[in-house]
Amino acid sequence: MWSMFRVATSGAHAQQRALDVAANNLANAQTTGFKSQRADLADLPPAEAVFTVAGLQGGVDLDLGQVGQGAALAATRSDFAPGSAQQTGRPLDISIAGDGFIPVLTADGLAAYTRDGSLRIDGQGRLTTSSGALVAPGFQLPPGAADPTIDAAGRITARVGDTRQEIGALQLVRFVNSDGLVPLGGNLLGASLAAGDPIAGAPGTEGLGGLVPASLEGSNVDTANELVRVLQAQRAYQANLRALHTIDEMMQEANDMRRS
Amino acid sequence: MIRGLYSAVSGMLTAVRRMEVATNDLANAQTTGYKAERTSSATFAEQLVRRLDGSANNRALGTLALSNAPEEPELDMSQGSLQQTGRQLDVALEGPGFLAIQTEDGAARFTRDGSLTRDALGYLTTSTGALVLGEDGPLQVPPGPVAINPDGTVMSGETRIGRVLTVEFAPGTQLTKLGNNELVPTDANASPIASNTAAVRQGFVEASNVDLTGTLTTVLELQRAYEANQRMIQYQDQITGRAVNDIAQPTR
Repeated sequence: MWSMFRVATSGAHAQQRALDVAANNLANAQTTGFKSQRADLADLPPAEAVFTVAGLQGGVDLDLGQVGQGAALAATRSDFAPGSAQQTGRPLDISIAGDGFIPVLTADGLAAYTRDGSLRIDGQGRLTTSSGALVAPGFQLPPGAADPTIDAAGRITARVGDTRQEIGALQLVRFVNSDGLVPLGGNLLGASLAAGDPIAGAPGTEGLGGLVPASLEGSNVDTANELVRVLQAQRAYQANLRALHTIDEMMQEANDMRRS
Repeated sequence: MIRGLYSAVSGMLTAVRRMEVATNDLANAQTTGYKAERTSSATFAEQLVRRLDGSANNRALGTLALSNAPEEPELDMSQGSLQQTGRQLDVALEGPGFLAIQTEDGAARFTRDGSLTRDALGYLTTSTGALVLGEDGPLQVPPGPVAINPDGTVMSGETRIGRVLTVEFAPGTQLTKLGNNELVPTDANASPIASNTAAVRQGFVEASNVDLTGTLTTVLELQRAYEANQRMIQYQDQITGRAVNDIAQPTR
């Protein structure tokens, strides 16, 4: 009987997790390159239930098989569907039309991956993301270079004096299992064992998406969809609290059985 | 009189047990591919009741069931609603059957939770990392777009990878839930039958088939049944109290 409290609480907790994920999506409805996530819930392994019936000869225990022990968050799944590309006209903005991530190095020197193509040149002439992570393997503008641009094939060029000079070629990476990437914040994702090794290549080749210059990829969060999820989670949460309340009242009845 | 106490207690215990099942259903109202459980109660075998009048030939009065017990819950296998997600590794089964999966230690399990992913080698897996089985073993899908047709055929571009194996069990086969949305037949000898009657819908997941309104109504009903039985215990306790304290009192 006591386990029911735990079962109802686990259900409420699981709904809370689903709400957290939906709230994070809504908060990122305008974040460049953001991929919406969803919470997948799973049932918890059941426990043996034994039902004792009091009887004239001391009673009998009935094995009633198993009762499930509630629900929990099983996984969060990212939806890697592309967000809509928004023209910005800024020469260092790129969006990826299709599969792929821009590889970067964080300030700690760790490899990370992003779809946020809002790039810029830092004070030392290096190509970085908006959060300051270096675009891997590192692109350095020569002194005096101006007007850097990135074209659809990933070639980075800049004007040095009167001529355009090629600085380097941007490569994209993709993963066998993009679901396995770990969000690091700042629009960055980290590699993991589950994601597999990064597969690098030029944009538009080997299944990688091409680049769309002077545009940014919008968030793929569908606000209406998220609001429906919030409502569903809220109602399921309430149902679990209602069950909790009822169980509590039943316990009260049991305690009131003998009135002193 | 004492027999009535047992009946009332068994009624309370039955209500608790059914409440446990209903609570678990409510907790899983949003669990992918979850199947609700139906509970019912049954009376114990009836017993012959005799009048004890002190003589050798006690007269039979008829039969009486002393207890009431919950029956083993039954899975409600009705279809859950299909929710569109647009995610390419989401599949929902439309129709009877299960996806056949294989856990890391090689055990066969069955599920209707089709929120799939790939492992680092590209094999299709469930949330717990169990391999999704095709007709010819695990399905290894190279990176890039995947198409899964309603007949279960998995395509990577123009290449056919395999066909998702969907299985059914003989009618009446009892299934046990193991958690993580996985099921196995209760009788380990019951073997799955490859069926492919269910359509495999890519970009959808099957929602839980728990009916919130119905389950909450059951919860209320059980609470009242519990209360009513509790009152019966109180009344019988009062009657017993009268018998002990009042009737048996030699002088007043």
